[in-house]
Amino acid sequence: MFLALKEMRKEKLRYSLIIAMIVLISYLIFILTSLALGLAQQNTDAINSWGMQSIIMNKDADISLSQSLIKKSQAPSTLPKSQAYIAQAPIVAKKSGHDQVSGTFIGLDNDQFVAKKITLTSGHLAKSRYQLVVDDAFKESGYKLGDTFKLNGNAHAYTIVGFTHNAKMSVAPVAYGRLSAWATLKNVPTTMIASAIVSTKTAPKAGNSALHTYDKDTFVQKLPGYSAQNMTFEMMIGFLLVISLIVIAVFLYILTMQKQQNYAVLRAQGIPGSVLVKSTLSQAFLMVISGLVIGVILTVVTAMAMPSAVPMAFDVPILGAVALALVVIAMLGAVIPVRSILKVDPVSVIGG
Amino acid sequence: MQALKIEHVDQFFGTGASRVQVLHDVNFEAKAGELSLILGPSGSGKSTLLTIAGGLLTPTKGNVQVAGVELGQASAKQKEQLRLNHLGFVLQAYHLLPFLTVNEQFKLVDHVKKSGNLSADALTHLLEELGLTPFVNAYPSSLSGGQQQRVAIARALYPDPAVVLADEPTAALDSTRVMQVGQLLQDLAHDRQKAVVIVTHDVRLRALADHVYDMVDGRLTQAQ
Repeated sequence: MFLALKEMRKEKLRYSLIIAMIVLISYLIFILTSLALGLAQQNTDAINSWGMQSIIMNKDADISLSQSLIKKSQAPSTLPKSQAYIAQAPIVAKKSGHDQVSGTFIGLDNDQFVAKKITLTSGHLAKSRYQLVVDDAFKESGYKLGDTFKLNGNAHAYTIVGFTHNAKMSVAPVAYGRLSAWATLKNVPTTMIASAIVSTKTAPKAGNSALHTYDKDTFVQKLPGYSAQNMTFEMMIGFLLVISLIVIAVFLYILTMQKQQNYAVLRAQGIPGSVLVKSTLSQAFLMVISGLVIGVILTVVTAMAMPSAVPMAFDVPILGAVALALVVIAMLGAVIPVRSILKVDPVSVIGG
Repeated sequence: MQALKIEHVDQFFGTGASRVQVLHDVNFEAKAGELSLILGPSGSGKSTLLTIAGGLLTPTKGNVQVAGVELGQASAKQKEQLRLNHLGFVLQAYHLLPFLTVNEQFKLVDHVKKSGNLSADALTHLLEELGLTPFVNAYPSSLSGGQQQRVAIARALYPDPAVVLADEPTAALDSTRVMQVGQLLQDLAHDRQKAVVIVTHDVRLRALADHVYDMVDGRLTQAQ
């Protein structure tokens, strides 16, 4: 560490430039990770809030909630406490003087567990067919408690009776209402009872040959665009980690090459190779930690400056794991010049 | 007592048709308190002899003893320890670490060799003797060639070695500095009881040596 610190202190500009590269890479990785997390959360916030473990859907719906329909005749006469109907329909809220809001209607039975899991930030649950509890995103479009508006050009007006936070599904804000409103909004016959049945149990029996039970992860992965979006971000983060490996390895290799003569003298003087290796690894560690700290500060500042419409989320364990991956990769990058340190020939400094 | 003893050393480089013998049955001894000068032109094999004496190269044939340790029997680690504890190198191009101040060049040794180095008082005295006291916090880049060479000599002496091996120590110095550095190396031998071996083609140092050897085409002979 002695050599590492002394060299970095003397060669401030050189090491600052390398740290700047690490800052930029880590900053980009953190921003992308936060965006990936934010988008993933906005896909699944509502689903996560329900506390479900599995879902029973029409087996021909390709695990798509918007395609699934359950007939009254296919559903059991009464659901156990661990199960609840959910009825999904796409909606467009339209009120004069306000922005249009595209969202997802989720019809619920207030006596079942999903409705009981909804945390209200204001108001109360829908008590009648034309009442809604909507996500806070509606507020950003100018809607407030007591507002009435039409959905999907439907003749009836709906009233906001409550707001809830982080109720989003496939990035669209959710409007919770009664099951009885769903058939009209979805424009399906009244023989249909809901889109799906969610359960707090891991593998409840579907109870009908037309239905099938899927676990939560399978359901989430099949949300429109969810897997493709996550894979895109994972690829970008993965490539950035590989780029950081190359950048750190190349810079340290160049620095090591420039110091070959010094290393040769030190080896001739009996300084063990392990001391020089530790010095290089320490430099890599110090540079990556410095870069990460500055990268984190920049990310936090950026997140604070971003408008709330930008979906950024911070999950300390995940961001910590990304930072750890960057440290590991930097140390792997430092191993490449280490080989040349160990192979340095002290004889090269003796003689003209 | 011989601090350095070289017996019947042959050294070959290359293989097959390109095999070349650069040292022929070399015998040499360096004793504490004496300055030995090995003179020879470029390519005569004197630097090869120095690398063998310093345990950096294993001779094709023959024996080398440093401070009583037979190098042929020593592992790479033991040779490393031997260089750290018993050998001091003074090199032609100084090769001071550019990012360490004069003082820190010695601290580096402290980090690796925890005991047996010169005491703080002895180092202060040595730096005074070498005229380096005003430069203890200076980086090598701000020192002249002569000052850097004196720092390199101090650096070689700091672990208190039995043998000091100097490779063309005056090659980069002007003529006034040559005799100063030569005198310094003689003082090391006589006053500090080191076995000092200088390989050089600079005949001006001849007058300062206790023993002078000529190296011609890999053959070492004592000069008359």
